[in-house]
Amino acid sequence: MIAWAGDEPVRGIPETAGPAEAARGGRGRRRPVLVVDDDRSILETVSQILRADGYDVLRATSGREALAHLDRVEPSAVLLDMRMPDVDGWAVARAIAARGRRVPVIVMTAAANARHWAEEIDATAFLAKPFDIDELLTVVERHTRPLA
Amino acid sequence: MDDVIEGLEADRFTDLRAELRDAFLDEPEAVAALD
Repeated sequence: MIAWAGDEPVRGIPETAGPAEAARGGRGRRRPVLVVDDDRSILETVSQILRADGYDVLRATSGREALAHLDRVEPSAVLLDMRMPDVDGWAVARAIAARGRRVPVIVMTAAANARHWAEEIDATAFLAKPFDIDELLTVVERHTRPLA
Repeated sequence: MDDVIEGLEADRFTDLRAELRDAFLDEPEAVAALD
């Protein structure tokens, strides 16, 4: 079952979020979050937000680069743009499934049929662009877990 | 000290909130979705 970004109201930055939380000892040990988007401005800003909230972040500007990361690292979640040249989001999702990975995939898309696309690749959740910081942090928090 | 850190955090997220909005406005796909 897919958990959607719009399931419940999201208000405000979580009380424990951000650099202050990191200064108090961080979010607990987690594997990095892999952010994949061919739009460098969105990639950079989303990555900065997650880092500011205490996450380790890996970035990929293409599906091919994402697959290279996935060869080396098992991320705690993948934030995945769908429409990318060359290796697109569908191909990345197929590659994750083919490798037997159980990595939460969070689709990021501006498409009107975002839910349908997320269902197509059996994603864990989706973020409909343009999303805001509160939605981003809430969905990532919900679908990543600290290491035991 | 905690107050200072919290204040810096609030400012940082204010900046990032605006940066995220701008990033989406620059992306043709997202602009189309706003229509």
